[in-house]
Amino acid sequence: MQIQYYLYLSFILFGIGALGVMIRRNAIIVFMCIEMMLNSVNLLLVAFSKVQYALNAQGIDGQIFVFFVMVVAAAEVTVGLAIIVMCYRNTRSIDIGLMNRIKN
Amino acid sequence: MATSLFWLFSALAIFAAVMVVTSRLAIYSILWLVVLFFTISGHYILMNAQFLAIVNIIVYAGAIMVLFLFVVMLMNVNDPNDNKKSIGLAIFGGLATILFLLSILNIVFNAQHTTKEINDLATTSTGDIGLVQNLGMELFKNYVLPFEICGVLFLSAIIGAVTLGKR
Amino acid sequence: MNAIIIASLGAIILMLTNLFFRKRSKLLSVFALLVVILLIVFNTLEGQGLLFFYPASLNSAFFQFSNFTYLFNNVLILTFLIYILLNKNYLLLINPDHSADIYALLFFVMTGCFLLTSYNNLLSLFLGIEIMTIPLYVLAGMDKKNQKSNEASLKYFLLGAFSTCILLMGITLLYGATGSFALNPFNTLNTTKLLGQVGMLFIFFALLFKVGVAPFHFWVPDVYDGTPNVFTAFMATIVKVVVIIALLNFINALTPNCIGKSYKTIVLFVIISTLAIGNFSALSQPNVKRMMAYSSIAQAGFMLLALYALNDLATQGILIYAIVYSLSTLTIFAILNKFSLATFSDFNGLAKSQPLMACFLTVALLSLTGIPLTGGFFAKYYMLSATFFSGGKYALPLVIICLIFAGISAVYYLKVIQAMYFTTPPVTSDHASITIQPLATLEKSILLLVVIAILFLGIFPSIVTQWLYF
Repeated sequence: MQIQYYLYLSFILFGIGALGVMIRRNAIIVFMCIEMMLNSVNLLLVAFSKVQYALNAQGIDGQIFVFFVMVVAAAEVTVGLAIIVMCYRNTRSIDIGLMNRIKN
Repeated sequence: MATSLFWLFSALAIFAAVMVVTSRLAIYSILWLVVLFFTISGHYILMNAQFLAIVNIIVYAGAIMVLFLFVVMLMNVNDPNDNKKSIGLAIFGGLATILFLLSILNIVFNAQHTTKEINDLATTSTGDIGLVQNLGMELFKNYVLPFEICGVLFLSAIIGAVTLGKR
Repeated sequence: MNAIIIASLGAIILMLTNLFFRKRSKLLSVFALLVVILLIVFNTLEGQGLLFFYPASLNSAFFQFSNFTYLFNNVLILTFLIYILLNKNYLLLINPDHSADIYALLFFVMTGCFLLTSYNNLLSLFLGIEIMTIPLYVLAGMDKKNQKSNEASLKYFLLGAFSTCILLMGITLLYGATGSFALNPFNTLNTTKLLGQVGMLFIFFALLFKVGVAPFHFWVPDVYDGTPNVFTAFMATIVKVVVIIALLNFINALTPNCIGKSYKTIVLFVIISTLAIGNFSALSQPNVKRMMAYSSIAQAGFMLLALYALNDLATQGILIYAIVYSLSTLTIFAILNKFSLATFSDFNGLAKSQPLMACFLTVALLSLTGIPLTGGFFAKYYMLSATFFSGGKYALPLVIICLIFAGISAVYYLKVIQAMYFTTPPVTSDHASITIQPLATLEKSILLLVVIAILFLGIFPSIVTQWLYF
């Protein structure tokens, strides 16, 4: 498969994720869109690592990087869900727009 | 075979991604996201990155998404108010994203003509760099230091989650 | 390397002290101070060639230590020391059940900061950013019952994770263009590789997002306002400065060839819009904490001048600017701790009721404005002259615009001073004056030292910069 197809796919997923972050107001769905963006990045990294392999038989570091991205994403999810649960306890809502209104 | 599988997985991935964003209830979003993770794992297998494919399913679909499901079910958020999107924001976000996508795709398209390497193949199902043995050797030889730093990162995340989660 | 390891070890040990110390134990801060002193000692020793931990084959691939790194690490550690000394009582009060955890998280953030000052690889950049920000999301929400704090935490988290995605996309594109995560092979990158340039732009924007400057500043006021005071002081000083240094490291690692002509235009746009938005919004804020949030945006705009100039003078300038800005901001926040809300009218007549406090605050505010005889003057002077000598047809107009905005910033800083010295408190303000707590003796002496340091840097700035060349 040519690399630009992976580029297109990855960018489309990244764009849909970014769109979701911008238009959705439910904090959990926003967070899921962020996970989706991370996954599109991972896909592109693996594709590039295979290109590096085809070019000069290297490219293992691309896949190692994917491993690290997954690790960091897991850590981020732990903290993020804890924050969302904490917000829910106090406001009984996870609506980002509502949080803004409470402030004013 | 590999080509048709690529298109199948890609179409399914994009459809699932659209469903994640447009689902009204968070539960459906989560389930569609799991579908998306499976299709991406399919892509990994097509590229012979077997270890990552398995880890993707175990970590993302298995652990992270189950955590999401737990939180959503725990909170039982079914407020119809939650899903009222503001139309202005939707239009703005949509426009911004479409512009972003167009500019990026344009860049890729241009780059394709100006450089040769962009036409390189992401070789499918060849090469053994994605196997557990090779990745493990690399990870514990050259990447030990970042690996240890990841341990620190995890510890801080655990402390943070416990601190916030405790009543 | 010593600093990274000792900071993370210190965090782990501080976390475990929960087992042994009573709640609100004063020993905790003593212990934290001990770790900080160890950090200074070992970081300085490493600069002299004494390494205790040396993973020889691995070191250079991910980290690179230079004189500037050691010096800047020491600046960070000293700032952190002053931060702990000024805020230690409030750190124990904010969430008494978790005071040991708070210290542990602060030290984890410091670990991330040390990674960011010395990274030599995009992987270590990514890990450093994450280790720095993940504990910060938690610290922002530490006041768990307070809805504003919750909101700040959620907002900071979602936007921070979003910018991390952009950073990762940039790293990926750069990897696709160069085939490596190391910073050095970028030298071979030529401008025709559009993919790599887009990647660099993504990384650049993501880091600007983390700093919180103009097109990406919108999270700053809400997050800084909602976060508990003690952690706002931390975020506005150490964290902000470190990300700017990381940005500078990143740009410095690239050759002029691969930066391209449009780089300076982008930085120019970012600086001018940051200064405009930060200063004009700060003019109309209801309370001092929110004003400080906007003023920190504007000050970051001045620090970004180093990214425009990219010469030796800018390196010296960013060092002085980081020190002076951190010290002044820490002083202001230490005094804001004493107020319950800190609207401008709360400061009315402070010079009469708390003359010493008013004096410290005045010096810090004047230093942020950039009045001569305070450190802020030389900080701004170095930055502007670095910009001027960097050449290019936009250098002179940029300097003039910066000077105009520095003048505008004086308006809102002097508003506080005017309230303190020239406004008598209204008759009904007995209630308000009760809510202002006096400074403790330790805080007084530390603030006195800090203020003397600010004034001293206003006369002999070279005392800091000479260390760069040893």
